[in-house]
Amino acid sequence: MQHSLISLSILAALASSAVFAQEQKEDEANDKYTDRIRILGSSDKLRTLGGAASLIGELELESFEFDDINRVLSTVPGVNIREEDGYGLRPNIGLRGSTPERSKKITLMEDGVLIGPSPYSAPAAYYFPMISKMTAVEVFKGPAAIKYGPNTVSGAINLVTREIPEDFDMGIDLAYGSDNYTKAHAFHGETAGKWGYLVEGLLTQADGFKTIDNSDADTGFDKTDLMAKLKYDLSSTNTDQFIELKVSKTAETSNETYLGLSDDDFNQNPYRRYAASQVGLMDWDHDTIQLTHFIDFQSVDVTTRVYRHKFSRSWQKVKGFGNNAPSIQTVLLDPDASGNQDYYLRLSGQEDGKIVVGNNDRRYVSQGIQSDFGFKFNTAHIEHIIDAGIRVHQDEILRDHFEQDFNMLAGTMQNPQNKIFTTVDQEKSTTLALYIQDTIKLDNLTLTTGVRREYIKTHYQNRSDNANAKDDWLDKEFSIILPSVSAFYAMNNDWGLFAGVHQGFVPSSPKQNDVDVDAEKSVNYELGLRFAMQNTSGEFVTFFNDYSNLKESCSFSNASASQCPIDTDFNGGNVDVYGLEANLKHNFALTTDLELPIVFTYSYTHSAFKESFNSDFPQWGNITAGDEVPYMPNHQLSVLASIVHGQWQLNLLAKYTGEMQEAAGSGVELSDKVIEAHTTFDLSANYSLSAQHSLYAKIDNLTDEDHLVSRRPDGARPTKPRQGVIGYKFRF
Amino acid sequence: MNLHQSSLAVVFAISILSGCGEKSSSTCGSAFNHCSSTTSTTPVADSNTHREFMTNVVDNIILPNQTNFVNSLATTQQAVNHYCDALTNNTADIESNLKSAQTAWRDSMATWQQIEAIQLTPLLQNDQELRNLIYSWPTTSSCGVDQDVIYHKNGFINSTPYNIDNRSISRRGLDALEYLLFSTDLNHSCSANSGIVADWNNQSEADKTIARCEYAATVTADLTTHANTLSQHWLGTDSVVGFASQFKTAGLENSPFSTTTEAVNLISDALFYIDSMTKDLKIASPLGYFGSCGTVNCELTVESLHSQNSLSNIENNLITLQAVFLGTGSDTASTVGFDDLLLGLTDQETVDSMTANIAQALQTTQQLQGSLSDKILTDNSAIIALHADIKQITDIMKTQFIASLALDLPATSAGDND
Repeated sequence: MQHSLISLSILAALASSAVFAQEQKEDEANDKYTDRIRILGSSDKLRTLGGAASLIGELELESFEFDDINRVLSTVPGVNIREEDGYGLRPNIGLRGSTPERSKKITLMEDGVLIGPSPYSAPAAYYFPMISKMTAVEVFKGPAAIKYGPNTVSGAINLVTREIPEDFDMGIDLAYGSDNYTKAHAFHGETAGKWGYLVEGLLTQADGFKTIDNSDADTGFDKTDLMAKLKYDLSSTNTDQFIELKVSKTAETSNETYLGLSDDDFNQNPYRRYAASQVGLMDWDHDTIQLTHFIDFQSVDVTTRVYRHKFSRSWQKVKGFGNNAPSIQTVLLDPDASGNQDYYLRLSGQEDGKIVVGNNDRRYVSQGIQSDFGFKFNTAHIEHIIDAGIRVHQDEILRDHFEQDFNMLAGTMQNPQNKIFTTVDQEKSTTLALYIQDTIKLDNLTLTTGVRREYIKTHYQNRSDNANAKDDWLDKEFSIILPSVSAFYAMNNDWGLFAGVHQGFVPSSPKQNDVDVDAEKSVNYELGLRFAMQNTSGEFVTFFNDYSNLKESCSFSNASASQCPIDTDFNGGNVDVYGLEANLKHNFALTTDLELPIVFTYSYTHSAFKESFNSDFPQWGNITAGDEVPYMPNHQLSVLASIVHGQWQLNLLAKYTGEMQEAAGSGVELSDKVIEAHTTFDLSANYSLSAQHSLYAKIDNLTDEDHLVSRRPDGARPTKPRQGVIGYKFRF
Repeated sequence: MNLHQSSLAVVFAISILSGCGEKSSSTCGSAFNHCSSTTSTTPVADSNTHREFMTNVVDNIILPNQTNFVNSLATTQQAVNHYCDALTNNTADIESNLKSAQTAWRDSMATWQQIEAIQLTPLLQNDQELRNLIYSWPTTSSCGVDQDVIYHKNGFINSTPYNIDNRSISRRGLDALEYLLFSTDLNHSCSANSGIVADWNNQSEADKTIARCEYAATVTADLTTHANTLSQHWLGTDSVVGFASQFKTAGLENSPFSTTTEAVNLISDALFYIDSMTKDLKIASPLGYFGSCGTVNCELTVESLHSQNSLSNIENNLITLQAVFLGTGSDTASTVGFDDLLLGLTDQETVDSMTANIAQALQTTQQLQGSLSDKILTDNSAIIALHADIKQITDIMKTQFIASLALDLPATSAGDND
């Protein structure tokens, strides 16, 4: 039962009746509000907006019950992903060739509000909302990204949480699977008079699919998410108005590590973890409080949100062997090489010795107030639809990184000592963002022009005990104008052409001296064809992203520890990324009550550095003009086929990912290393016992592929092996 | 909202948004790395003077040191071999042979410390790969050396034939050789009696001594290989232009250095070894000024603890600093140093203060008797004074010296650990 999803269409039908005039008014207000929390909104904007867009609704999310955003995005064209832990705990998502590292190049939102830990100061998304509780995932690439900065080079992902239901609603979802996977998910909410509420809780855990040398510890995770919403209707005769409070608390502990395997060890047993990784532990907490006010004056609607997110994380993991020792990546690439042998034996617990363990303790705050306005007016017989917004935002990261020397003794990590703080600093950004977008219709042509302005004031301060730390600071101010133009031409009711161009931008970190490194900027073009008929719909888009400067920054995840100074930015110069995205859906009616919907998704992406240069960035190295950007497969294809009956449904998702390079140029550790092309299959089925009770089962990685998904951060790592899950659902 | 108001609102919003294009500005603290990139208006010495300086530094200081190092390692190899022979044959001159080997090591170390104090590209490239193969301090591991003594004796590591080329830097080099020749405790130094070292302590003293000596011979041979590699990098081969030639032709066609200043800056960067290593790591850290020891047993973090050679090391670092600053090397007729570059820029004051302070620090070091670790415990004020003397030098280097010559500070010296 999907009340919230289908309610809009049901209510639209009801709206024709005068009996429901009041409901119609409320529904229109709801639509406007929904438009503000969703990029794609609730109406048919998907068909008339410029910019390639994808909506994964609640039904699609429920068909596979994925916990992993990487798998959820399989049917979205133009998404490039680097897997890491197999569960998608810390996804690496890029759009249209933007580098996927920690999803930091995309604008990541929850209910239309920036949700990354520190979107301006430290955009790496070490926190990612739990996908299992979302009712929709929206992916937008192209000119409309201008509305959702700061990062506009590639696009935006918006995760939509459950709305407070109009009527009593309740759901329970319980599941159990391989590796002791457990999920317990429940929600309840209703609206009574002027008050509405929703409470939701989600718990997932698994023991993990790897085994650690000389240890019985599990390699899995525990995640909890509690959310509550409270809404009060302030509507009067002339205005629709409400205020809503949302609070949530999320936590994760996972025995995760950056330490992978040498290729030889991976080939023998990809699910092994070296003894040194016994110390791996990620522990984080995330709190959100958000107050939303919505008012619709009929001609103008205003949505205002005040938000504050707190995120604290501590990740203990093997960092290396100390000064003057080779990096872990160096050792694992050639364990028998000169100087590597005994470090390898130490990592694997076959020999005693010192191993440095880092704990990257960080605290983040992200807070702000934003208002989005929508209104219409006519001039010279042309209707203008104006979307405008203002956001005052502040975020900061406080780092208290420290290292300890552990002793590998008789195969176990013991006796931490010599605690030394390595990075103790603060990066802070205070920003003002404004945008305005005007959409006009000239017969069959919908023309949208927009402009965004970002004003960013940042502060970096060394907070260490070093005598000169107080003089180690940097203050910066930066402002930029980001224009966009897009057009949609409706050839008839079913077919349309669209095109657009916009300025892409990613700000530099507060710690980065902009004398040395430029902000990332690009001009992005797209041209597409979209159609929607009764049983067939599709979208074909070609894009060209012309980067005047592709920028990358050093993090522990994209470089082996200590290979580059943390948070240092690197210029990549002029880079071209172009490609084709195709999405085709067709619904075959096999019998009167049996349907076969099929979705094909294909992406072709090609990238090329336009200049030759030598870079210290570990993923680039010595670049020759024409080299491709790493972790960007040329070809990706997915096919989702379902058999849908009134009472049951069977789904098969096949995804092919082409070969990817681990480094762009020569002279760096993973030069000439590739992630080979691979194909995975996921199968799911559900069966409705009654209107309220249903069972489901799924198998992720049906053929139990054990391919290598990345050699970063430190060594080779596998995809998740075959995982079976059975579940039960109750929906009131 | 009527049409007129709406239009005005849109125009107003667009005018705010488009009011200005891209703008940026920044200010930074004095300790921020690369805080400003202002264009220097300081006069710069001409290229020919620079080249004379570099030629003198290379031909008169660096290359002779390398030759001395290779020669002293040959003497060390011979002495270690004799010591091993004496142990194997159990002759009466074991002790004297050990002393000879230890003396030879001290001579090699003295030369190395002069090379170490001015590390340039051949030693620095690939994360100091070659430097670490010769000498990896402060990355050392007596336990690691103990393990390799046993692997070396057995001839295998996990059924793979033992090959020192495959072993890590903390088990090779002058630091490993020091432990093998000077450590008097024949038991292994690992914190757990497990793995490969489990049976070591039960072996006879003679067996343990011979095993250590034989590994010392292998380590010395390995050192000689890397010392020759260093010379080859500088001198080049028939097909490869040596670094010495590249350096001396800075600013000319076919040199990797586009300007002579670039090459001079490399030498300047290298001399900051006296700041980060000699002053901070070799003296301040054992004094407990900073580092991981806290306030207990910091004296045990001295360089060359087993041989108690720390003060000699510091002295040789200062000798190199003095030689490069004054231009004095093996050929007494050629003396173009940093002092001449400064005098060419009429900075007599920096020349005088640097010359006096280096001489003072050398004198203070030479007057100290015994070991640095003992001095820290028994005559702490003397070591504090030595630290202060060297700090006088590095303070000038970070300010007048760099400013007068229009050079850049090495990135790691922009801050200060004092």
